[in-house]
Amino acid sequence: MYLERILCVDLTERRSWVETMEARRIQPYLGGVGLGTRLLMDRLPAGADPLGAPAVLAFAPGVFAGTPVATGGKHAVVAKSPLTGMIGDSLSGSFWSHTLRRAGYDALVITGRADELVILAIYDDQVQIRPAAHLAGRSTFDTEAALQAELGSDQVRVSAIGPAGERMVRFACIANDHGRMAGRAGLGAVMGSKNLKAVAVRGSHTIRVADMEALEPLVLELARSCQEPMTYKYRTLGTPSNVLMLNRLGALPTRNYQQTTFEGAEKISGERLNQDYVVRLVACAGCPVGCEHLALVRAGTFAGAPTRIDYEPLYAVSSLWGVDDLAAAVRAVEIAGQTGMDAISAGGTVAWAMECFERGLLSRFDLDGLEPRFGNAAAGIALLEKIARREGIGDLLAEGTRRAAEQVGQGSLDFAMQVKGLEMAGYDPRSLKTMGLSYAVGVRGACHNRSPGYIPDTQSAVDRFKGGPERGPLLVDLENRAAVLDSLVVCKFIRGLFDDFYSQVAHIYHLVTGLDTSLQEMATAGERICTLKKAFNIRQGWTAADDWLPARALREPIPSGPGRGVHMEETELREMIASYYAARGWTAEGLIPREKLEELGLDSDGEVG
Amino acid sequence: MQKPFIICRPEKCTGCQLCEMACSSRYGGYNPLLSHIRLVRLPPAHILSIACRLCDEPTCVAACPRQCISVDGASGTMIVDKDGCTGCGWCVEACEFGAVTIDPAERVVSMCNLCADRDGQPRCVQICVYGALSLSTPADVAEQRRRELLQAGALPELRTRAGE
Repeated sequence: MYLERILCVDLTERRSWVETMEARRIQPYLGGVGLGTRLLMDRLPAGADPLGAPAVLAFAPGVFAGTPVATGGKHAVVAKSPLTGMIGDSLSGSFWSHTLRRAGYDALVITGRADELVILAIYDDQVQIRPAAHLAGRSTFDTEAALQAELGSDQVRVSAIGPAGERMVRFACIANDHGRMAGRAGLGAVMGSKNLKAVAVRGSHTIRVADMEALEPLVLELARSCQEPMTYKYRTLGTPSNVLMLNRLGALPTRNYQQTTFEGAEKISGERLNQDYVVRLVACAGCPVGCEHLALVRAGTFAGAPTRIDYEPLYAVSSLWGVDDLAAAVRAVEIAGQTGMDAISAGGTVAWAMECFERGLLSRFDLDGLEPRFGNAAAGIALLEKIARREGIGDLLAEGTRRAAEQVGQGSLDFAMQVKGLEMAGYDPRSLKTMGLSYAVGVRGACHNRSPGYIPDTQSAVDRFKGGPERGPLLVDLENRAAVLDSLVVCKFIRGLFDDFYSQVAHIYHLVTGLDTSLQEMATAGERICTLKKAFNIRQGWTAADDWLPARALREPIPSGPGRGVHMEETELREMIASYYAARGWTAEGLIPREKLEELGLDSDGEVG
Repeated sequence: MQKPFIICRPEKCTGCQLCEMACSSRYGGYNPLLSHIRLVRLPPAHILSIACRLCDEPTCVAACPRQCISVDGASGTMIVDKDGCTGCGWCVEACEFGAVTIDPAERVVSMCNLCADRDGQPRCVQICVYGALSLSTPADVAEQRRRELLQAGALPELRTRAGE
């Protein structure tokens, strides 16, 4: 059931209070990303500085958090992204998510800025703002361990930023439970701008559901189905199995998207990773899939601590850098995690710097003596460390590819592989055209999670080399489902388990919350949440020019491999975007008509300014 | 004859906490603090769930100043006289496995009874889709390990030794 309580904290005033939000007001947005977006929309004015004191940072678990509904232990972090200036919604999961609900809250909303580095310590109704000077500069993992020791229990769960968040690196992340990350869109920088090092939560309340008797058999059935073939990929090789799959398709971004096949793909494959480096699989709290692959480099230059590896971080520090050394890649991902950076954006920014170096746009002198040619893993890792500390060239690169390219100029924006400022996720938009559309129109920028166009492309459900007007409706359906998954919250890795997605999740939702709902209402919630995010972007200054791809995707054909000669035609992209706006019921300019807002109950959300 | 209890095989346990959720459900909700089985995760990779091991000479029984804990003859589980228990916690301290818990609401000691209400179908075992938990004796687990050793065709790689 919803707890109907939102914990609000103003760090400037060092004050906290609880606001009531009735279940019927949360229901249209479900929870998680939807609820977080609603809270942000209601509290953040147009044109707000994402790193300013009044900026809003919301943490919102799903309504299944605290229950054993498979993979329900997840939370969204939502703010205006300092990287894109638009909606920044990122998901993480595990113990922290369950614990915030057990402390008695459906969401936590933080505003203001503390006058010194602090942590927020929540234990049920007790909320403390404590000085945290002793944690300055500490890694995400260290901070978590230190706070568990300081607050006296492993039951204290911690969401923390690392040194990158403290220095407001624009793609800093927020880490919890030793390796889970609210990774994308720079939410760690928002937390850092508030001088907030960590949110430590402990909760003692029992989480109740409306109809336990009916829910329990479903919980067991869903848990068991999580070990059936549909999740096989995640439980065996894991998402790094994408390396060879995408390489075969000519869609593995290589050397900053100059190529889409990598001659070193075998060496960085999921197969090799598992054989040589994965030490064990673990699970998020509440998850019967258990997908987390912990990889460890035991010896040599790149030896480190076990770190969690998925495809997108891996791609961003291996093929994207032209690096075929898995040990280096594992170490690079570990450094991103410890310093608290989104490995996708950090890796993408380093890849862009490598290309600038090779083209002579950034010199050895500019790069503090480093020579980051493609393939130079050690230089790439050195750049990551500089970015996290904003040291030397790291200060420029910490701004992300778009801002850095605007400063460097000389055509470097053409190969800054980002949309709206968010670096691309590891799927080439020329040989995966539905994904190209996803990147262009995605409200979060070039993201694979909110707008998963790669699915029909990689499953050969469409001609992936050629766009078409059928992609708009296809993508709308995928985005709406993703929004429901991200708001309930249920992990994407079990999306394949549902034969009749909306009606099955509606049934579980009803048993958990006691609220009436239907297949149709669930589907509409997905549309509502996607539309609300777009309304947020419009209010923050979105224009049609923001829905576009970087010049490389439009002008440079893929040089070799299965996608040889293919690029995204401007007319092709325009046609797909038009079909997408039409399928959403938006205007040809991508704006939301008043009737659409009213139909979705978003009447007052169309106002700009 | 040794009586079976809840055994967790660390190499199969992923630390998902579903056992704690399931155990606590007997109180009509979900709360790990009410669970008799407790998950321990030491980052990065040490994981185990622990419940009452039905000791032959239970230290919890010996520690109780009011003789409120006794051993059930049939199942071997610990029976707590809730009327006599004051929640003093000596048995909690005495248990070398950390398997004695105090119910925070009732302030009395509470221990795994193998889901006596469910006819030998413990909730935690039922929800453990990873096959880490079983209602077994140590000898059962040893036998299972020997079988798996041969089924694997070779000595398994010691992958669970991560981070040691």
